[in-house]
Amino acid sequence: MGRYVIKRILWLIVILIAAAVVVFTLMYLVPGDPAELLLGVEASEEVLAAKRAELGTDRPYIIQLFDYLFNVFLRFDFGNSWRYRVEVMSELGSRLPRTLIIGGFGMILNVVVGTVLGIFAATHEGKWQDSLTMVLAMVFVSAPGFWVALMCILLFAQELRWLPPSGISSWTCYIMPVVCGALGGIAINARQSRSAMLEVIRADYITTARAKGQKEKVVVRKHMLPNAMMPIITGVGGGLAHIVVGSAVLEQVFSIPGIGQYMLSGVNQRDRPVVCGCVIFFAGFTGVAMLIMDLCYAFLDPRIKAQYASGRRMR
Amino acid sequence: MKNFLEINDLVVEYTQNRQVVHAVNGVSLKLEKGKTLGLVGETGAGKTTIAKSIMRILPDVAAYIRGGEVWLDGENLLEKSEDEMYSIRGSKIAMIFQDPMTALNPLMTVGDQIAEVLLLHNTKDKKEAMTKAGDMLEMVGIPRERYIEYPHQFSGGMKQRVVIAMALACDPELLLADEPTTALDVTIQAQVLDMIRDLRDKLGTSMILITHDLGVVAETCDSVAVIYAGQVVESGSKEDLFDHPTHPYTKGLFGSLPSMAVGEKRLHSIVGLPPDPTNLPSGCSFWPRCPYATEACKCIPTEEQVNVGVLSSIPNREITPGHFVRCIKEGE
Repeated sequence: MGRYVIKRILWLIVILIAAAVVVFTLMYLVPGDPAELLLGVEASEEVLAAKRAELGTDRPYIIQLFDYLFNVFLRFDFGNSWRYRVEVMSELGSRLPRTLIIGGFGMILNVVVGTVLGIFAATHEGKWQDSLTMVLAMVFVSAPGFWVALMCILLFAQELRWLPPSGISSWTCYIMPVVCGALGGIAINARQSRSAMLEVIRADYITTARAKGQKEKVVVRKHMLPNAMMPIITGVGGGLAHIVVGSAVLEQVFSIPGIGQYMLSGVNQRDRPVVCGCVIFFAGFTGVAMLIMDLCYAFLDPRIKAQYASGRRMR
Repeated sequence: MKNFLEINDLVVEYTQNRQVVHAVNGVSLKLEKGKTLGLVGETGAGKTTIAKSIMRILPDVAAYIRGGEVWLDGENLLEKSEDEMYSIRGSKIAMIFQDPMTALNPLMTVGDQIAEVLLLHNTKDKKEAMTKAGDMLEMVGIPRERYIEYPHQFSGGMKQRVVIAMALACDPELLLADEPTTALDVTIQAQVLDMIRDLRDKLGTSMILITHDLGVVAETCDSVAVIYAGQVVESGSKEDLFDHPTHPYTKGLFGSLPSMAVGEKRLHSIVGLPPDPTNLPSGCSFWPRCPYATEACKCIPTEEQVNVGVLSSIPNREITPGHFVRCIKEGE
């Protein structure tokens, strides 16, 4: 088990380096001179040359790349933002809590509400409770997240004036982003859990459990749910990665200075250290989320654990 | 009461794609205490449905017990509330399932799965349940150290032993064994059957053995009921049926057994296939395959009979004491 985790972490480092190379190269290939973008077209050639030297963009691609990789992976220094001259690392650090609050609470909502709805629908299969839940889920699976967010702002901020439409001035500002961010995930998770539960409900060992005289509630909790957990965890793992990746849209709509918004502004201003830093951070976050998910599998299913322990190659 | 278990006119229907599947059509069975009844019939004849109806563990959306009575020890199980059934299932009646590969929860240790049933009915003490579960494992010939192992670490025969240990853990008075050996290798089949028989004799359990293996019936059962298309077509003591098979279907079944003495080249079979349970033939459900069928066999049941779920008006006649045959050609 320990060996497996170490192997996965080593792989994660390889993936991060690859991600860094790809995103750095792509940003390098973006047309336009960064110095000119920063100083404007009227700037004189001397000033521009000085700026290029300051940013280091006058050096060849390969030197710049290795310099960047060296700084990031050996000195843990993501560099300074070209435009704001602030350290990317410290900016990420101050923005991360906001993104994590929205994503984390959204995730909790997603797991609790989504799974419970899925179980509820599955145990009432074919009845109106099932149909109602699934129609609602279908609506929120199909509706784009930004549209739902805008509609919520219209309703709760504009019309009813219950909640502030944007910003982070008080904790009430977080309610709408958390709920809107979670809705899509809840809908997906509800559908996922329902089908996972339905598959398990018909399993022979459920009949066995009933034949023991076990109460229906306990059968659901003790026998059905753990067995239905695998596909649910897969969905949740995807959702976990979505916390940071999906934050871009949500934070833009609600004007929340989080990591997603930081990356978007970096992209708009061709701010290479910002974009590269954000992408590497996203990759790392996703990788860790996936690792946790895989470890959950092993924790839940003795068959998978046995495979890890015997060192058989798992993808 | 003479009969420990008595089933009267049990009718069970499934709904599938808005079609009604007539799985069990008025089955009546009797079982004395400590005896073993064999249910014999083809796949899909309704044998498992009968067993599950006794335990009331049919899937509640699809299946519907339309009528009948199941008397166990003077109590009608079909009139019990779900709460009352919780305490009957697993302690008074237990079931051994057909496929041991899927009958165990893959995420629980086998020991805990046996202990679960003990905790439900016998003891509140976890330690005691675990010790007793270990005893049960040893009783079915599995070392107690394997308590903490998971089903995937067991072979098919071992899993069936675990299922048997689970079923017998609370000393049930009635054991429903649903084709306990069908999914196993022939070599393991004999071991498992011997074990079930030994434990039954040791514990004095009454048993319903569902099988389509007439050899198993001959070795294990006291009485036999032959099921065809959800009906008992012939029932009686083992001797009645094996020595004087009377219903054309029973005769066909025995005719299908290869005889070692003659050295036949080709197996005999009953012509045709079992009827579609959504569309049973009127009259005797066996007439399309019966070599002796006459016009009279196709008689249509009266409206009154259809209303109570009886699809065949062929009378169940007692030809010798205790030997019943559902065929109009008998007793004439």
